[in-house]
This record gives sequence, structure tokens and C-alpha cells, in this order.
Amino acid sequence: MPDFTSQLLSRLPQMRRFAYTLTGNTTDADDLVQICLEKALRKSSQFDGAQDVQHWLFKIMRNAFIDQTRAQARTPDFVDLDHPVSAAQPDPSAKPDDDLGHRDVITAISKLPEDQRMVVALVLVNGHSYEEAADILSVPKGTIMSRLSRARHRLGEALASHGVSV
Amino acid sequence: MSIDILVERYLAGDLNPEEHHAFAVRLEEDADLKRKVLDLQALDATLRAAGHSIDDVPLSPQLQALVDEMHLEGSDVQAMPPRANSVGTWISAFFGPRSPAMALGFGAAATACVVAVAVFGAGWFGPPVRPPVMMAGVNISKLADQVASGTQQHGVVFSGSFARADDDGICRVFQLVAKPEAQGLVCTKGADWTLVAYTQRPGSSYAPAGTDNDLIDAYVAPMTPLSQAQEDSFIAKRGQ
Repeated sequence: MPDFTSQLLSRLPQMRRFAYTLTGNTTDADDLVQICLEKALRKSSQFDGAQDVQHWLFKIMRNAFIDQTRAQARTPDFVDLDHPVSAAQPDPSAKPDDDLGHRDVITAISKLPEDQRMVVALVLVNGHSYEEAADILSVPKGTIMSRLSRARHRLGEALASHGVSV
Repeated sequence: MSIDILVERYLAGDLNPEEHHAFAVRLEEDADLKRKVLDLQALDATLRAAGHSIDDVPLSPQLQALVDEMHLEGSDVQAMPPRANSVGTWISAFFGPRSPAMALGFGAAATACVVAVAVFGAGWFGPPVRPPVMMAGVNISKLADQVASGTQQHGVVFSGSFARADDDGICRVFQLVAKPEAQGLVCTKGADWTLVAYTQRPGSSYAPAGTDNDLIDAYVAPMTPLSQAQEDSFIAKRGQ
């Protein structure tokens, strides 16, 4: 069996996709992945080798994301008077012209309610089954289906209104 | 069951054969429903592609540093003088006959050219199933099977392929375009690849001893470079 660290690293692409879909930008996504990996390393003794390491990681990431979101909600926004920002900062890694559609889609996903965003990230982006998503999010399978249905409906409308062809 | 949930289950392949057949018949009869399903399938593909677009974005420097540290910590061997009866001693004994310079690198003379070396224990000594070699979020194993030297793909360039004389294995030297000072060496072990060495210039958070790429050169020195035709043949075979 591959060592624990190798197992974590082999899931890096899936973790980044999950984080990217949740946070809506690559910088925050990599920060979230970093937090998740550090927590996973600290909690390595709690990992039961019988369970899927990816499920375990995604549960950690989900909790980290929720913690982060709640912490941000409690923290007032401060403005740096030396470097005032008048609008949302662009994603520094965004390419100028070739992935405009992708960014619009990710932005639309980031406006979904948190519970729907997670289902989209797990099922549609990372290809998990309903059962797997239900296990990771600790909700019934029927809840996954209904959240996904609502998310699809909202995203279809949002993207159509922005002229992103699907 | 609402039509929305039925559609969801259809899209997820969650219908049993009878339900699937009944739904397929309904789709043929109901043009609006068929259009709706096609639109949702297109939407799913769009969402998936958007989520996967981060695959082409290099890791943030902080995450890259953590990943590199994990690569090193996950190894059984660090670049330090081996102690008696240590794993390092065993590794030196194992690799010494194949690459004397490598043994030197693991020996007491490491101060002259110390590098951060990641020899994945699981890769060499573990069970036959190995994880892919991942670096900077890129599957190096996959690229090593498919990409010719000199061609950049996903921020990785292979600079040469070599044949190991003792076991007919193939090794490939690669660089991350974003970190041109670093080199890596992957070698075949059966159907898999294993990361044999990775070097990093001093100043990073994980290679305080400093390095240059001499160690990679030392690894490949006793090997035979593959010609372009040989490399093409190897890639064609592995790509099957």
C-alpha cells in the first residue's frame, strides 16, 4: 500500500478542483488545499486505512471551507487606505482571453448556496456518485439529488443570462 | 417521483433497466423533455470543464512548497550522510553498483554536492501498485508515457531518456518550466514510474543544504541515452 503522504499527494488534482469550485478562484482554492493537507497530516493517526482517502480528505476540506466561510462572515472587511480596492480583485492566475467562459461558469457556481455548491463540486466536477457525495456530506442520497436539481436549474438560468452557451 | 428527480437519476445513471427503458421511450415521445435532458447534459459538461480548468494553473508558491516538502518527507531517504545500519546505508549499497556517483551522493561526501533527494521507498521496495508520480499537480507518470523529449506539456519538459543497463528499465529526466532550476528523474518499475530523484536550488524552504543538478547527471551517467527513434518507439509502446 502506498505510504500515507503519497496517497494524499495523488489526490491533489481532485482536491484542487473541489476547492476551486467551492471558492471560485485559484488563489483561495490553493489556500484551502494547503489548509486541508496540513490538517490531514496532523490528523494522520485518525485515518482509518480502510476508508477512501479521498472521501476523508474531502470531509476535511468541506469542514475547513465551512470554518473559513464562517470566520470571514464574522470578520469585518478592512480597507487598506494605502492600496484601496474599488472592485473585486481579479484572479491573478486567470488568463486574459482563453478561458473567459470557464471563469463565468465558476463565478456562477460560487454564487450558489454553499450546500448546492458542494454537491456540484463533488458530483458534476469531480464525478462522484450520489452515494459517495452523500457519504462525504453526511446527508441522504435524496438530498443530494434535490440539491443538484436546484443547482442545475439556477446555473442554467445564470449562465444563459450571461450568454455563456452550454 | 417528480420529473426533476427522474431526470437527475437518469443523468446519474441511477435508473434500473426497466426505469431506464421507460424513460428512454418517454424521451423519444416528448421533444421538450429530450431538449431539457440534452441541455442539462451540456450544462454538466460545461461545469465539469470549468472545474477542471484549474488543472492548467500552476500551484501557488505556498502550496508548491508544502507539496515539495511532502514529497521529501514521504521518502525513506533524505540527502544526508548515511548512518551505519540506516536505510541510507542500505540504499547506497543497493544503488552503488548501478551508479557509483549516487552512492557518493548519499555518502559522507554529500557536503560537496548535497541535494534534496526524494527516493520514494514505496516505489522501489513496496508492493507492485504505485501511485502516479505527481508534482505541481501534474501527473508526471502519464506525461512520461506520452510526451517526447523537448516538448512542453502541462508545464513539464523532458530533457532526455536513458536506458538502464542492468534491468532494461527506462529513465527520463524532466524539468518543471515554472522552476527551471529543478530537475527530476523518473524511472520505470514494471508498468509504473517511480520518482528516483528530485533536486532543488538552495533558498527553498525544503532544501536548506543547497543543490545543483550534478546528482541527476550522476544518476544518468552510467545509462545509455535513447535515440529519438528509440524514444518514439518506447512512447508508442507505453501509450498503447
